[in-house]
Amino acid sequence: MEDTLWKLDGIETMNNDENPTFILKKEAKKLGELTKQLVEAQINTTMDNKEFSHCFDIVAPVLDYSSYTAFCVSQPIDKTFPITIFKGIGVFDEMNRVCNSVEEFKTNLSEIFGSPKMQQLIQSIIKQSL
Amino acid sequence: MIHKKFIFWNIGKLCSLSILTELIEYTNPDFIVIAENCLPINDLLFSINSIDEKKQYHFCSKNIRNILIISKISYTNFKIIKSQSIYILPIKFKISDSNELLLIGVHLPSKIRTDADEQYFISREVAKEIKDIEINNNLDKTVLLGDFNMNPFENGIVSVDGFNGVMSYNIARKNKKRFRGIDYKYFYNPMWGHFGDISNSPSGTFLFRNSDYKNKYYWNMFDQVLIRPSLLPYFDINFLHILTKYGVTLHKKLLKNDRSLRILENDHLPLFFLLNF
Repeated sequence: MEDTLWKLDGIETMNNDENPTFILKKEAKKLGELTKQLVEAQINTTMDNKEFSHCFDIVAPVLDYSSYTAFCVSQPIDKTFPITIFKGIGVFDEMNRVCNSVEEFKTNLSEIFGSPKMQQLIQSIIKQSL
Repeated sequence: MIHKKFIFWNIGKLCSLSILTELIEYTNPDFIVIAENCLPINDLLFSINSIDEKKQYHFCSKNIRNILIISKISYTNFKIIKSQSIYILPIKFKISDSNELLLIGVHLPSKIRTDADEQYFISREVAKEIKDIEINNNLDKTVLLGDFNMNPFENGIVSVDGFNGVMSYNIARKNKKRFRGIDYKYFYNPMWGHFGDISNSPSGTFLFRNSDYKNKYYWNMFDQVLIRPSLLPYFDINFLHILTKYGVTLHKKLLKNDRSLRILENDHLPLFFLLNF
């Protein structure tokens, strides 16, 4: 092994399926496929000294690439959980929800993506994409 | 080597979603440039993205003259370049880490509404803007693809201050023509090779059936691809086709038969070519 002061053993074996950012990106790609690329999504990630922030932005290519932030999540900079999902388009009654595991995170995402508000938004964008 | 396939079609009169979809299914292009688009984009994307879920097309841009560009490249890998002219739609695509392509959809004014002088004037204006776009974006791998509404031999296409489009590969690869102390970069115009009956294709891309005195050619080559010399190594003239058939089994024809001069579906025929990066 090369001589170094870094101790990064194990970084090659990270499981992306359990990685919240990967899950968000995968669902963003899936949205494009399901809507025949009329509605796309991108994850905008920023970082400060305390946390990562990932925003799920819905993009309408035909409408001059207008974008709409559906929701954002924050994640501690030094660990995967807890993840906080902020209210976004208003699917939840409360202001935010805290997820302590991948399962909780996926359950909450499923509630957002399957909500009537999200479906109305996607359908409206498709209808406007003439 | 990365193969990139292109099609262009002025579908104004045809306006058929099913025929366009079948043509795309048959040619499997990476880039689709359409002039006079009359189809709702949501219908079009639903149709062509249902052909094969692994090959997804993305809307790139459209303009006021209904030039439409669609590609397999998603929006994170292209940039729409603002244009003053309504006759062009320029987009910069990232093909690979080392290759960027400037694809410009073109639809110049029809001969019905403009005379030769005005067409020449507009060509000069558009050519000047294209040159500025190339300089401002530091690009020279440029493809012009569209309905120029002029034949390759007309002033707007061949003049140095127009598109400076030349018929010969060997001239184009010299890159530029110096005229009265000013350099004018060439475009290579391979459409010259498709005139008349020698090539194994229709005598042009646009058939004008009127028998009045002004109609001297009947077949015209209004639909053209012009490429900058820096793209010549990637271009193979053997893969430039005027398409007359569509459908996965090629059993459907756009011409009633190749000798009858009667186009079945539309007055323009589609163009196909590829670049090997």
